[in-house]
Amino acid sequence: MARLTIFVEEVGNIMIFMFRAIYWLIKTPYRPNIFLEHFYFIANKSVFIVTLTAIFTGLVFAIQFYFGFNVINADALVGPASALSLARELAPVFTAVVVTGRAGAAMAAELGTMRVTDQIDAMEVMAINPLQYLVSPRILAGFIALPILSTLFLFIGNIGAYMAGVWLLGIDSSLFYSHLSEFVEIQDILQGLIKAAFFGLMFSTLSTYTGFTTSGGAKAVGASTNRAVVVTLVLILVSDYFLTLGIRFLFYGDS
Amino acid sequence: MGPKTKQLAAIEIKNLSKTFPRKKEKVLDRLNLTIPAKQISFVLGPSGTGKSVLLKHIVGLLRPDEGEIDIFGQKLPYGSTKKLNEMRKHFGVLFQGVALFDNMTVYENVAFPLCAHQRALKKNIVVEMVSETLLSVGLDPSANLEKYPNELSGGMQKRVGLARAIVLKPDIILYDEPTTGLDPVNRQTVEEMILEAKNKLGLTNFVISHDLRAAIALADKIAFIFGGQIVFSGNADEFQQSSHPVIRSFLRAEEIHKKRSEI
Repeated sequence: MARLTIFVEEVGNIMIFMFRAIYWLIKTPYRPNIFLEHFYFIANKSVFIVTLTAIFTGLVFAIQFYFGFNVINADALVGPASALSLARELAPVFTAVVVTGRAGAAMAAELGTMRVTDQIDAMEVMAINPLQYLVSPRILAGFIALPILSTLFLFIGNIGAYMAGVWLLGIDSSLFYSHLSEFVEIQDILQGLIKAAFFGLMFSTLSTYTGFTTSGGAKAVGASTNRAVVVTLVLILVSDYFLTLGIRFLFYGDS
Repeated sequence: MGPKTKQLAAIEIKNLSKTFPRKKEKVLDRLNLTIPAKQISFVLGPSGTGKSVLLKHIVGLLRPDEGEIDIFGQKLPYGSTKKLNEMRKHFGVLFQGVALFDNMTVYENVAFPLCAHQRALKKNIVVEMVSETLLSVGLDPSANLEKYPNELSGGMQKRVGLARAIVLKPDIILYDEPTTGLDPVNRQTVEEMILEAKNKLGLTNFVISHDLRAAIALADKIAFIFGGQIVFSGNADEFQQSSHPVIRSFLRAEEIHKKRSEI
């Protein structure tokens, strides 16, 4: 019971933290340069790792689909199946996982270090709102960057799938995406984008919250960074299930 | 001789109490203290007696359970962030670990509060103000503006920290253990810095420390905190004559430490 109370309290604290950060986003002073700095850090600096992950994800999934569909002589479905799974699940989930490991951990560690070395207190004493200065732009950057990176993942992943299917496994290039429009609809792309935006909000909120509320010394920074990454990764996968149900209900009226 | 005028209090702490829920013991227990303006006041005490907690209350980082703090006669408004931020303009704080932003250069650190509060200032004015402030704390701006905190010695970091604290021209500087962990040369530097803040800049200096030597050398007023209360308040001579048992043992320990250092 005590653990449940602590859990509920923590969830409540995270929600309050997020809404306060969003509230401070709409209040002056606006600091677009700081937002751009964090956006560059989350988005631009993740391009290489997202591209690398995407290409191999596309390659692997196309190979696995080929071995499945080949049994029933349905090689032409390898392309659409890869594209569909990338659009709905793989692009948003894998992008979120990769970006959490890279940018989320860095954000938690940076804010954690600032907390334990009194830099956040110093900012507050200078009458500068640390939530508005440090947290709000990071959350906005995560929320915007993830759908963009997820779109990149989707594009590169499909290139990987094409490479595996056509160049490696010898599927006819004119056949590979011939059934794409029958299987992949705009809702599938939208579904992926909604998930990516949600994951972006989640990873940036959890990383900043964990860093911001760190207490102790250097060891505590390591522990909170670790916690930020583990909790976010688990929640990405858990929330993906509920998001899938919710989005299906929203788009198709069933779940 | 005319009637003795009452000395203006920069900070007046009245019946301040604080208990942390997890520790369940009173860290501050109806603490009363008056800090005179434009002087150097030390709050001494053993580690863990609530010195840093007291400082955090003064600058509004912690909210007391009971009691109040007046800054130049105005009550510190804990309930309103906006009003609290207005009051915070009276303060500059030099934290124990200096708390310089380590991803910013010396220039960016000192310019940070300036740019945040006076956004219309042109860059050349900011550079000029930052350079002037660095000079006032004894740092050569041309050699240090572009350096990062990790490229500076402990004493220089303290100077940059002080420059950042005074760049908005506050009335009160609060120091959290300013000499702790420094070698004798850097300690001397920091002590000179505090004296200059009083004599040249005319600031009120509030120092929390357990550095007895620095307190006796610099302080106009010494207060001793123990058990969450101020158990002594007076000048350095009175402090050394105090018969309070904890102060006596504090002085004795310092004496032993001094003799050991001489050997």
